[in-house]
Amino acid sequence: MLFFLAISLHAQNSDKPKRVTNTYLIKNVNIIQKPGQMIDMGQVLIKDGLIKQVGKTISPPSDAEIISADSMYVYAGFIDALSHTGLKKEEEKERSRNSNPGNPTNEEAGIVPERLASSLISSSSKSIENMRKNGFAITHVVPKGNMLPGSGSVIVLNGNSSEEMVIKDDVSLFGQLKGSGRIYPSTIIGVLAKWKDIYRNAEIAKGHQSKYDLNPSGIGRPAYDDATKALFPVIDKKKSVFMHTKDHLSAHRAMKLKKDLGFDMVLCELKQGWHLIDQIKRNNIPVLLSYDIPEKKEEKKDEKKDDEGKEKKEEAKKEKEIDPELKIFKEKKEKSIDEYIGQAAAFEKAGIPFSFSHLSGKAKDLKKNIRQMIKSGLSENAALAALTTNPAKLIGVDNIAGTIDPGKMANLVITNKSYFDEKSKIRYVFVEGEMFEFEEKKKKKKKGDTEEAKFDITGQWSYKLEIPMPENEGTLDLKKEGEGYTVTLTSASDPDDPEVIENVVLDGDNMSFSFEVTEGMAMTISMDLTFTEESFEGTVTAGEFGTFPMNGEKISGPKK
Amino acid sequence: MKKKNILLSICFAIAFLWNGSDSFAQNVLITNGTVITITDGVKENTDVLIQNGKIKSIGKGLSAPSGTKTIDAEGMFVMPGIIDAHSHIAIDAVNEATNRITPEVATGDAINPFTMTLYRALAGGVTISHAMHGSANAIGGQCETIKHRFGVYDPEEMKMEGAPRTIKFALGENPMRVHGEGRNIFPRTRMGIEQLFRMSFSEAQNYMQSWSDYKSGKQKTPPEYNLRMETLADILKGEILIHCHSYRADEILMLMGVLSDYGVKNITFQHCNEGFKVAPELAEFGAHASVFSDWWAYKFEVYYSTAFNAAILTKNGVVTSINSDDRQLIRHLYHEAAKTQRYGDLTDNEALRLITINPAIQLGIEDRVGSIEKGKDGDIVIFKNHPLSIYAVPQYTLVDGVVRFNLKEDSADMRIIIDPKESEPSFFEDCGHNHDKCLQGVSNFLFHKH
Repeated sequence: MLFFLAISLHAQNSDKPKRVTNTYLIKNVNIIQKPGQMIDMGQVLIKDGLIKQVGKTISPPSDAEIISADSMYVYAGFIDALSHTGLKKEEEKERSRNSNPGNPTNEEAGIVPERLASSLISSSSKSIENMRKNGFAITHVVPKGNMLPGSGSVIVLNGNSSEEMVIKDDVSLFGQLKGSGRIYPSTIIGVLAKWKDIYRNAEIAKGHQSKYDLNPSGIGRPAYDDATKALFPVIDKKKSVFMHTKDHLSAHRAMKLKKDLGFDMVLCELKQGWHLIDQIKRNNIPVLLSYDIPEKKEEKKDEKKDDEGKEKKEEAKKEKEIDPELKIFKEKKEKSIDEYIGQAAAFEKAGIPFSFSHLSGKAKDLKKNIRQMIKSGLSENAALAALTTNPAKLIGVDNIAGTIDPGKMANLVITNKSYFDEKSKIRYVFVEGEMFEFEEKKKKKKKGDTEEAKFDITGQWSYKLEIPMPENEGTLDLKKEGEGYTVTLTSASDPDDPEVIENVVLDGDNMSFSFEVTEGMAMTISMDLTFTEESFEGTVTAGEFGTFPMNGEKISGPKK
Repeated sequence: MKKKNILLSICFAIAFLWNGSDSFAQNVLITNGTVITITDGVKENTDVLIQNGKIKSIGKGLSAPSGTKTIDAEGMFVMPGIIDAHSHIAIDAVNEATNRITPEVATGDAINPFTMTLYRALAGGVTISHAMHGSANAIGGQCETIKHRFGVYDPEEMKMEGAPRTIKFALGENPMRVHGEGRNIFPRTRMGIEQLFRMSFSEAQNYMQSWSDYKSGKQKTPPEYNLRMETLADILKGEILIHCHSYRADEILMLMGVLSDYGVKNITFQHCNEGFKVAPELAEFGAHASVFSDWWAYKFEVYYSTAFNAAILTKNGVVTSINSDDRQLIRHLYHEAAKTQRYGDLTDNEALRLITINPAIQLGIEDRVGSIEKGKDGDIVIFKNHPLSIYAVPQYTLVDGVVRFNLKEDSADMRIIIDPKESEPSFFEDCGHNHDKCLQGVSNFLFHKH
């Protein structure tokens, strides 16, 4: 079992077994430094959370863990331009029965611009892990709520506490054109009136405050509430309003409000913005597009071939032909779907840089949906920019993130193929130098649903582990014993100490099993292998060290 | 430097043209129709030429510049676009019913140019609507006079540029029920509603005073800005026309009394169901009335009613209009106007004034629309059969000279925007019963009592 011991050596002086080393050398990898700039088969050295070196050849430091990322692709860690990632679950508040719906407190009315997102973050939130495994390293998180839920914070998607995670606090004011149900303002007209009211009031309050600061004589003392004061940086244009405007009309209303009041604004989670392109461009308004797009349905062909079915089908077809209402409706709907999917391409064509926000899209659909947008004419470079350089600039972290350049934060996404390839999988994500590894998911089958193998897998097999150690080969002996199999694993470097695992179940062509290692550092080794008649492929997971590819070939089978 | 300035001013000029109403304008020549001008009699076999969205000339054998679209109206009736002084269409919110007074809110903030009701109203010859706030609050929100430019994407382009500001007031059962009964707060009675007006106006006077003290330097601490009070102050200054939901005669007299005390003059009583009882008083005050032809008895205060209301008000010299307040009625306001001939013997012109120039006067836009006159907007509806005939059918409806409805090109699904998840053709859109109504959005308050 020496090869596992070799790994465990690195961990001996660390309290946190997770972090083996702070230095990684990623070798033989296609480096997309930023959209449109690529180094073929280069190397990236990261140390202590920062990118140290990027180039064709780098001599590996002695303490570096080497990641042979042959033919893989590395991108700057994705940056989420706006989401609710990391927020604690909100406790259900009991609405006070005596509250006067016409004249509620700011909190009841959903007007809490002074609330900081960072104060609402839980480092153990599942949403952090979810964003990370889809390639994200940095998030601009804003609180949930109604009209003015609070101010946004930029966080790195790894850390033990919110203090540790926050990169920049109070970077934005999150706004929504959303009423508070049965409390004023409850409707869109109430919300827009309230916006004007509190904004203009804050302008006056700000003037009052600065006059008082200059010379208080004869002036009543300014004593404004936190909500009013939280608008001062917006009035000074030190902070932009990130306005949640998913459809055409809400974007219009927000732009009108911006025009009336004069603040800086970013349109967020836009889904239906193609008719606004000229206006957005003219007014130089930054945009965050939604990647929550409708699905394009391909019509399924009816496979019934019997005469009766055919007749019915023709009848139905005729009916459709003579219903112009339905026909035009279908045409219009298809066009509408195309417009939603083509929005990003239309923005690119118009020369408007955009990023993606994550208020309604599901992170797991991100790549699939971006691929749809690319099919509709979006360039890969623009898509990548929307995930890296554009959001970095917008939320003011372009000096530390967004590209793969020495000196920047070691935020990386490594994929087995080009990210935009249909079959690409994210294999590693680095967040500030910390490695997260992801294995390919196997289709899980239900228990008791095991299939018989179509061929006999018993016999002797060679195996090879793809880890950066010399002792990574050996043999597997598979013997049928009763219902299960007995696996004997013999490492080439330690042939006298084989590991024997009994009662292994074969499910179809898949076999997975695990065993404990007690020498050196105790850990569980799990193997998940898929066989053909001649060879097998799969993974081995060594405790918390990660998952590595494993493969092998058949040496000899049982004598017939 | 000079060159740069010139370039800049050219850019501005282009931008202005682009944003102005001219962008909708079109040149149209309507030939050989029976032109019902409203203000200058009926002219047989007459042409109407519209250029750049405005009526350029009315006469026989007019020639038009090349490229002008021609509509042959021979045997048809050409009349000014119908104006509905009371509707709730094309807005995404009707009532901000949370507070008993909400003058700060404005339906103009919630215009939805994609509503199918707009197109259906065009099919009924209606070119302008007064998209009103609802009647949940004694002082409701500001309303918007909209042109039915169905086909535009920008809600701002729906607004009739330059139309005066208007606001909704409400008397009687609706505000009493929503706030008094619904929440058990003041006002619960008609007396309470009167006092609410007086209290609000007095508060606004104080507000104005404190701002004028601050501006004159008498007071160095700035008062709080309050959009609600700002709007009430604008009402007191006469800058906003009041349109008040009203039924009973005693209440109508009450509000005229309150307005007299505060020096406010411009008011149109909406519904004005018992207006016939106080028609001379309304005429003397200069108040206008906007009524239904024969719709009543839908709640207690609307029982004492008559179909002669519009005629009695008209004969007493009150500027009267007939409105829809409804997405269905808005499609045949010409029938509604015709009923005043059955009940009240109004002349053709008196009846048609109820849906054209009179509502225009009530909305303060009579110098722009409401009749076919040189220089007015090219808002026209062309009917097959006389508009007061039961067989009248609008063929074309033009707004600023642009054909927004053409019966011959009425394709099956006229929606501008279709939700990608939409599963039904447009026939079903906007067919619910609770939309575009006075009390839209209020049921929450009525059925969930505290």
